[in-house]
Amino acid sequence: MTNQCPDPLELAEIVRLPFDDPRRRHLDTCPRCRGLAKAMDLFLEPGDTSDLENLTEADSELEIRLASALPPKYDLPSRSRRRRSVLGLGLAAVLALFAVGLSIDEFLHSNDDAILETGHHQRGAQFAEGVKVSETEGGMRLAWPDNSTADAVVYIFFSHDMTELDRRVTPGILVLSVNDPLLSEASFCQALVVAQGDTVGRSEIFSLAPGRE
Amino acid sequence: MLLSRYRKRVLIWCWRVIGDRELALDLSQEVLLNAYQCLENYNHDGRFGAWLFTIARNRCISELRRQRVPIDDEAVLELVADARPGPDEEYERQVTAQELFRLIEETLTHIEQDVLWLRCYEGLSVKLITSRLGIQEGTGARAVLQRARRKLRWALVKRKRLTPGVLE
Repeated sequence: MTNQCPDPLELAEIVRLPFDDPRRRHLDTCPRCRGLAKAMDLFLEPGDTSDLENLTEADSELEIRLASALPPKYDLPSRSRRRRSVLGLGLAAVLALFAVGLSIDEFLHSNDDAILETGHHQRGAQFAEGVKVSETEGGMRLAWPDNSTADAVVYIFFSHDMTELDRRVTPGILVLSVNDPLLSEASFCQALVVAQGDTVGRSEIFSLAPGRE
Repeated sequence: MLLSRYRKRVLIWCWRVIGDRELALDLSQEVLLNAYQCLENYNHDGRFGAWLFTIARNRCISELRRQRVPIDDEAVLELVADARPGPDEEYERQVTAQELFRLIEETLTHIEQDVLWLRCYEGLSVKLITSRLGIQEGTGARAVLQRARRKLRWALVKRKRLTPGVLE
């Protein structure tokens, strides 16, 4: 860095100056400033990102991580709304359980084939509308039936008292193996559908664990 | 919100420099949280993107150094030295950063300097540099790097002969 080198924060402006501007001309003679300016340009205008596989999914995961890490006062735009709706939906789901007088245990026992086709099952639909839940060998399979518009589906898992336990980002289908601790710890789940970095749909909060509600 | 607008850019940068999705996610989260914590110090002069870039860049360089990936002047010297017999450390002792930059400036063309910078100072892949700079040569930025290496090596040898006191 020489005395003539500008503050790196000014480089983004300097590259837009006319070629005959003295500050712009400096870039022609200084490999450091020109290299830094090109790197900054690549940061600000990333161009073709096909070299990064499933970028949208990773970006959604980053959004969720940030929403969890930032204090509520300075939330990302959608987080407060998301939290309100999660709590609201959770409360609604619990009230619905009591109002209908239906135990999930009873509900599961009524399914001899061990498949909760939630979008189609009349009684299950009120708990898990939109998500297809089925049992696998000791585990569980969650699937969002229509992921044609989704870049990713985020499954949020809650304990019996609606404390958030974990989030899993998937292309649409999530299989919880028999050894997955969520199987024993999580009582409820909700799916968020993400497209272009925005949440475009969500399921109701539905129960995962019979008898734990 | 500013951070949301730049979130994806930070992720892309970290991912391209580090080359690993999970680590890039960790670094991006760290960068954005650090930026958030420092927002009060940001003077809102319209250079937010450049400010965030410097945070992301510094964090990525720190990570590469932690992984012992050569970066900065060391990377240039390694680029020059690895094709020549003799210990690399000799070059590191011989050439200061200022001398190295002067040599680069005097010896290499603009495109060679740009490729060298993006590879050795920013840690970007040869493939990305090739596409970004629109290099048409058969083997892209790799060929430019090799040519730059040859030129720098000879320049180092010549300078050593002319001013032995400086480089010995």
